[in-house]
Amino acid sequence: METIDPDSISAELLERDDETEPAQAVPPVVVVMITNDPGPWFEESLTALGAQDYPALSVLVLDNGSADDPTDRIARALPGAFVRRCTGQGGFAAAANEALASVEGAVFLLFCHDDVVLDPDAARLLVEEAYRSNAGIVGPKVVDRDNPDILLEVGMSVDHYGVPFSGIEPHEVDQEQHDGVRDVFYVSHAAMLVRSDLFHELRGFDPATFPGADDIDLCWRARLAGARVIVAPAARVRHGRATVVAARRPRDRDRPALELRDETRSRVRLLCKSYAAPALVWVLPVAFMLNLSEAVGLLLTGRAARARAVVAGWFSVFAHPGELRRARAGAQQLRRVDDGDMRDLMIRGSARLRRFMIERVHAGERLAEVSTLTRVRMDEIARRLRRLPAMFVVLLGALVLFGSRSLLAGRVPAVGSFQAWPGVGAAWSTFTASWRTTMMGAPRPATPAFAFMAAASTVLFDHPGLAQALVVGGALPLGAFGAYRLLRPFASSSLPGIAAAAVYAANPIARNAIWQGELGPLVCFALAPFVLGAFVRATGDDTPRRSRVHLACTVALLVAIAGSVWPPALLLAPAIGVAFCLALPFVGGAHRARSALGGAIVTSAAAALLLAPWSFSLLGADAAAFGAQHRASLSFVSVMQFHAGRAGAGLAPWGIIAAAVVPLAIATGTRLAWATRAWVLAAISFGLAWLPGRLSEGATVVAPNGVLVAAAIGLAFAAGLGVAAVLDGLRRYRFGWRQVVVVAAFAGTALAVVGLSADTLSGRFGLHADDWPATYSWMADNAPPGGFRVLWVGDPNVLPADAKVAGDVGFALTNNGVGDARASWAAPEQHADRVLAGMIDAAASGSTVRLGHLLAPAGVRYVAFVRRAAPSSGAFGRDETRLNDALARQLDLTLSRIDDSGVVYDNDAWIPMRAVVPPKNTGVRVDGRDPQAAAVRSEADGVVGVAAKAATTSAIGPGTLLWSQAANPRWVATVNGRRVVRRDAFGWTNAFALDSHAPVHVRYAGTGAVSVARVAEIAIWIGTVALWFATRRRPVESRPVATAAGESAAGA
Amino acid sequence: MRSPRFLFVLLLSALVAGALAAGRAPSTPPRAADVKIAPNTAVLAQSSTVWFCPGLPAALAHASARVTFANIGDSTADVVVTDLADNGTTTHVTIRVAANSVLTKARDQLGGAGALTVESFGGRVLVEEGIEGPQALDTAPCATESSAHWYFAAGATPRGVQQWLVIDNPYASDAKVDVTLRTSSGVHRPGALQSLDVARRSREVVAIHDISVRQDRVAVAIDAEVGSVVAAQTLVYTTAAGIPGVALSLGSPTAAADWTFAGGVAQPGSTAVLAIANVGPDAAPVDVQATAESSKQLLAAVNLTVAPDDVAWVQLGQCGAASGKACVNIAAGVRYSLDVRSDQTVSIVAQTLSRIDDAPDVVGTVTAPGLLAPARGWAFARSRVNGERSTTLSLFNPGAAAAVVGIGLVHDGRVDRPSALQRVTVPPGRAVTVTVVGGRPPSRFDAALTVNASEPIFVERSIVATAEAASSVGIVVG
Repeated sequence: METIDPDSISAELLERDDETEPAQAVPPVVVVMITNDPGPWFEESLTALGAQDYPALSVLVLDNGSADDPTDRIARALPGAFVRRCTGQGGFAAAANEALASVEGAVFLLFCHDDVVLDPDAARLLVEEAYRSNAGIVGPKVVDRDNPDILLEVGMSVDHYGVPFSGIEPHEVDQEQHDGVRDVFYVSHAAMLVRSDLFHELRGFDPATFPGADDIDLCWRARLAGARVIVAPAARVRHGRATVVAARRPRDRDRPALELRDETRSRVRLLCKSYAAPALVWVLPVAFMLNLSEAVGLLLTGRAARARAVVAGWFSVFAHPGELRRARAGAQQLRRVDDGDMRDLMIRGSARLRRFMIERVHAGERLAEVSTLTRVRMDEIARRLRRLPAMFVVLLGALVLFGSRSLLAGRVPAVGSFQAWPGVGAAWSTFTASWRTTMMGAPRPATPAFAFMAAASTVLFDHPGLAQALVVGGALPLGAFGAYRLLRPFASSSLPGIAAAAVYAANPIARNAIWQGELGPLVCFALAPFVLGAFVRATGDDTPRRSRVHLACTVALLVAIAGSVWPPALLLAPAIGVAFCLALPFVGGAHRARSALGGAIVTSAAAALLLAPWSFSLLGADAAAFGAQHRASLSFVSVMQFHAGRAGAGLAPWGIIAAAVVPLAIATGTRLAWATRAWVLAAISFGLAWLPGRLSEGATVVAPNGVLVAAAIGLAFAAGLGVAAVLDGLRRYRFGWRQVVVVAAFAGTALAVVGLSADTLSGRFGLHADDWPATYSWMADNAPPGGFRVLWVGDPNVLPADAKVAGDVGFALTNNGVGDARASWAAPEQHADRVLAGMIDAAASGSTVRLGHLLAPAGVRYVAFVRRAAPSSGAFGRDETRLNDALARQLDLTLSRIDDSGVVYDNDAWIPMRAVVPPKNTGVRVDGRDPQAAAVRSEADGVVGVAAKAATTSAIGPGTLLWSQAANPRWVATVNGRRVVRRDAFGWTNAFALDSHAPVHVRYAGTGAVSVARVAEIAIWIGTVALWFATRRRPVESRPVATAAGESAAGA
Repeated sequence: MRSPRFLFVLLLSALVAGALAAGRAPSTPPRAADVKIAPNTAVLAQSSTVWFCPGLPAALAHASARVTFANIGDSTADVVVTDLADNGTTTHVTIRVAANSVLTKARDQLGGAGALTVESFGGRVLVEEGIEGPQALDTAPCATESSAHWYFAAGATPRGVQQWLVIDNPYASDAKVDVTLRTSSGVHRPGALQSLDVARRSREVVAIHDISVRQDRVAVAIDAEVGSVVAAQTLVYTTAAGIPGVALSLGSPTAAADWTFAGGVAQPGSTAVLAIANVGPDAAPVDVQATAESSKQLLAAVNLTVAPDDVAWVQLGQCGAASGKACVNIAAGVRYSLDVRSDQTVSIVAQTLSRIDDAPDVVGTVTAPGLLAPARGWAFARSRVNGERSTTLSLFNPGAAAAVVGIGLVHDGRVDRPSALQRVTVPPGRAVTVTVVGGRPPSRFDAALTVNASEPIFVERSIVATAEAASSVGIVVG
């Protein structure tokens, strides 16, 4: 026995210890035993080291400042051991670090206390396990020195706040119940085998974390560096609990305050060093609050010094911020592993509380029983659930079809934009015409939606009503199917898809859109899942280029179809792309995000091109042309509940949220990534639906039901992913909050479906059978020659035609009665529309009592003020008492019909849309330039309406032909083939001077550019569809992009 | 992925929490209701273009009726007068009124007896209608607004007194009204006056004195079930009732708890009363507070309780002859203003009715509905009548700050602003009466009067002619 120079210890030590077998055969291990005033047990510990069956074992005893030099005792018990004496300052960690400089050439260092007795095979088993598991640190099973049947430790864990936890009950008998090699958060340095190179990389223990956290700190940093920390229970040591373990778990009342302060300081330092910055934002405050609670408890129980010590421990950490910062930087430099992976090995909740539960009430056994039972039940439920998908599909389908039965089988009430579709010829001529007849008319192309109407009606043998019913009634099931299809790649079971379909179908927005007659949002609802599904598939890392083209065509076509009905739908793809990008910090996958954003831009541009020239005509258009109107602001709670209409109140919508939260809680890997993206998409949607109204009460916004489609599909997607995660992962968990979340989510989904079920009773989702066209059908009776218009005024959201706004009053015009869908998708506001708006505004503000006169040049025969979307049902518009009063005070409007939902006035001063003013009539101021001034003083006496067929009038004249379309020089009238002079009438319509009595042919001489654009548009559609078909022949293989483990080649 | 999961959930939770917190109250205050200039029957707003003149009952000489058009704007106005004659014919007359000028037409120049609807195009036109004849003088603004409710507190049907109610429906839709009479013998709702049809573009003239005969007090309320109407009341005192006279007034379109009368004078030999009708279901404790123009001291207030559906009269001055009736003790010759307030905000209607027999100084019958809200701008379409002796304006300042008032006389294309009528200071809580036409002989031109005050005030006009007098509230100018 000798004391050696640290610089020369290694080679000599290793050579001298190599007596029985060649050192090269096994990796050299140096046992580093730290001793401090060792007790009588010391010799037994040394002897045990000498009895190890590991062939290349050397022993270095570091005496950490013992009062009595133990060298002689060591020499007697273990003659081959080396001894080095240290100052004793810095505790175990500082002493152990002497090995950094003292030992060279060792592959492993086995740190142990002086009261630890190793079983003869302990060192060997530890080394073997280190190799087998490729571990950096290995710990043995620790049992009581005096009673080896009693377990002390089998690997250790900590809670999120650095408090150690063994999971061993007091006096727990070793029945090999913990004898499995496994990863643990840390092993105590009572006996700890550390790979030497790792120990050097970690620069040893951090002495500042002594007492109480030096071994935790070492293992934590090892894990940060990517090394495994495991326990090998086959290797057993007996521990006298004279030092570390005993110091960590004394009875609280016995612990000196100073030690408590130092332990607190060590633990806080540990947290500060080891966690990533974002985690510290919540860990430190929570830990502080816990300690504060502890201090209060101590204070209340009369242990003021200890309470002070707990608090003082917190502040002492930050006494040297520079040193702490450097220590943290050193630890973080090692980081190769996420905090999330670390937390898998931590225990949830408070270690102290668990320890209390285990020590005092033996709750662990009960929890274990519950966990076992839960796992069994979950397995059983999962098995049963796998048999149920077909049943769910049938039930859901039946429910949706039952709810839509009246829509599918009967007539769709003409509420909102559900106006009757025109026949094939009318729809097609509307699509191809270069003059739109909405409002006062405009030289603008019509939306391709009319072409779709014509196509659908053609397929159904010119049955536009049936085509409309299929679109309205089929939107909900189609959307649900899309949601189902969206989830298919994410699980081998169909249950997640069915769950997504159920959640999507149960979302109130589809029912609200039907109830409010919002065709655009409804179509968007039907197509959005397919758009998102195409994005999901297209952004896969291994998706072939050919398939990407196909998917891009899919998105472009779907978005174009939705956009033709509801222009804001063009933003659906960009919203998805932006969502993918915003999720980037949380899920990674920059390539996927770039791909999504790029795809969104390209497909949206392609969709806009498909909709040209109509889409180009919307550039710079008024908000109403995009479907934006003044709408009542929604509270954030209403937005979250999707409560933008009749459905959505109550608890049911929260079920959707609850279901969508599940994957955020329990999913991992790809599913978590997609769930995150889905939630970001939902958050964007929620924000867009809520913020404008929040910033400005009654702001001009698009239909909330449409805006919330993205949220609906996002949440349905997330809910489906949650089910997938539940099926694959939940059984692995012990009983706890996850199961509670899952149960709550299932209950929520069921609740949402109950909400859907309740709305199915009417067969129209609350939409009643009556509508304004039926109620006011009398308007078209005995139509006078010359034709007339109906001016609809009120809340723009309830008018039965596409409305513009005058101030805050909505108005729309229909021709010869209540009109049909041709009054929808009004052209962008024109000068004539603004003139009309000015007149309505003048009446509403009380500036005129001659609204009838003002409206006469527009051919307005009836003024209909409506309060709700349908006479006895439908959504109520906002209170328009002022407008109602103003109309009642017009001198030239006669009350014609009145009921609770609307009032119709006859215009006493009306002039037919096609009328002739006889020569020498001075009562009609045709040539007035100021529209209001000209109209207000005009009297229609002597003005005669003119019948017309195919734009050719009966024989009329001489006089002035009034042509009530927006003034435009391209309006051409010919008499016997001779063009007659056109001029503006009343400053905003058209007049033709007739000098003879003859039929007059009137037409709008549009430019050829519109026709060319239409042809090009059709060609682009055909080309895109052809490309879609061509690339479809080799579809993307449908295989799960997420396995049961939640990871896949597709990655996140 | 656990750490990003936590961050995301944390961020999401923070967003939701923030949104929930922010969603509790709208960031922008709710849109303010349309600003009403004042609850007055005649308001010349910037946009006002139509006036409704119910007209006098046919029993009065049609030729004596007058309609005055005053254009206080700087541009010429075309005025289209539509006569909705009682015989069912409708005629239109277009009159051009030069800028800053006043034009008075005999009623028969505009068509047969009936209501008038006056639309103006250009300029800023005020319209008054009235009567000018021997022992029959009154002039009052036409209405700019119709209403579903009209109230008249002052009325009586003793021997020799005719109380006429004129209900004008100028619109193209029929109206249906209920007429309620609150009399000294209780409330009456005559069957003939319930659901009374007022056909489109016509008027109904109701002889209240034939329905509620020999009543000392008759307050009238009109409630339209359908449509909206304009109502006026004409009290005709024949010689059988003493001094003859005519008192014309538009009703009040609303009942309120607080009424103000800007000007009154306790003339020797006059009988002035304040009529208070309680149109609500609860008893109304009412305080009547008079304030003398010449003194800062308040005159003794009168407190009374008006039962539901009852009408009470409070005598103003001459309390010696009141014999136990409610009376505000105002000395003879004192000018005063009145504040009538219902203590428990029970809605009431208040109107004064005076019969003056202070010959040769003043003789006549006048009535004035109370005013509800002060305004900074007032106007009257005319200032003098045939047989004119004087025209005064009573200015009452209800505010806490002194009001400085300027009065303009608009006539013959110009606006005169006599120095004596400029910078008239009206102390807080006090009334001031200024004479705008006076002297001997009085000015010969008829001028529209414009009143501009630095603080909101109440204004009433009194015209004294040889054998009659007239009192009228002003037209609020927006």
